[in-house]
Amino acid sequence: MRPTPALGFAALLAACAAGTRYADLPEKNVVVRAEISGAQAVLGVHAVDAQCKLTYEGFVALDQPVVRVGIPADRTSYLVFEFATSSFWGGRRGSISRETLLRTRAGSTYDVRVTYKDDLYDVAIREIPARGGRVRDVEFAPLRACKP
Amino acid sequence: MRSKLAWSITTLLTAGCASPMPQTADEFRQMAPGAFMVQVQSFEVKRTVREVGESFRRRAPECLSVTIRTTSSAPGSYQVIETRYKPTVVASADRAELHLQQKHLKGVLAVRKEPEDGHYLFVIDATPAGRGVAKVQIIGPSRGYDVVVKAIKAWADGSSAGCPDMTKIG
Repeated sequence: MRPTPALGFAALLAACAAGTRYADLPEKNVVVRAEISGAQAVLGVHAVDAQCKLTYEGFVALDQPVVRVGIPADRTSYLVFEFATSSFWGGRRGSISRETLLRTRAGSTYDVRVTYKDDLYDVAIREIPARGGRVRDVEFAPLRACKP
Repeated sequence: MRSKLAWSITTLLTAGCASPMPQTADEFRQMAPGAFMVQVQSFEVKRTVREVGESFRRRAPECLSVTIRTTSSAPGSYQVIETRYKPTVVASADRAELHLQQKHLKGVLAVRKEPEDGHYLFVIDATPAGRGVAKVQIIGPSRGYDVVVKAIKAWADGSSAGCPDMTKIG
């Protein structure tokens, strides 16, 4: 049973809060490098307020090898990388996601590697500071790590 | 279809025909080999047991602590199954273990008393097999869980840190 990308993507959009596209910012501080095979992937962006309440801001389709996204600096966001697959003949759909809180700093850029291959997926984020600072791997933080 | 297959396999594995359900990883090690649709695989990796254990410790909680909801539909049938997985890693310098338990929350009835976190699905052991080499043994279902086996092998040999797409189980 081969995954059917069109169905997977439709299912994924349906799952993304009515399929709202993320209203991007002109300054692209997040560069997503996506290697996706056998699935459809989107990035869901949520703003996180001081009470740790989420506001969904929309999704970005990760349908190109490199996708540049502008996320407001100096705030905490909740990023949801979601992968959807489906099989036409089995009538089976599935989606799985990787989520993290991310505090984006002004001047820094974020290099995000997203892979889905042979039914294995991975997301890794590196923070690249302005003016040649030390690059660091960003630890994934679940929503429960947010403290009001 | 695949969910039904997974259900059947799991039921056969865990309910068994005559034997009680393993309540610990040790009981699973003793009872599972030789059971219907259970596979024991062994292989060696060019890494120390400590490195294998570290990979398990880093990846298993992130990748395998999940609750998966799958829906399957076919003419005349519609099935929703919700399943929670719980990994446990026990690692030291000379031994690394990864246990994976599976608990059905919806859609599948547990026909026999199972451990609180669900029945044992996989028990993986890594032990020293020479200088810088570890022997890895995977005891688990022979069908339906290829994606889990693929990920565990990749973590063990260090070739990938990717998480298995648990929606592909079955």
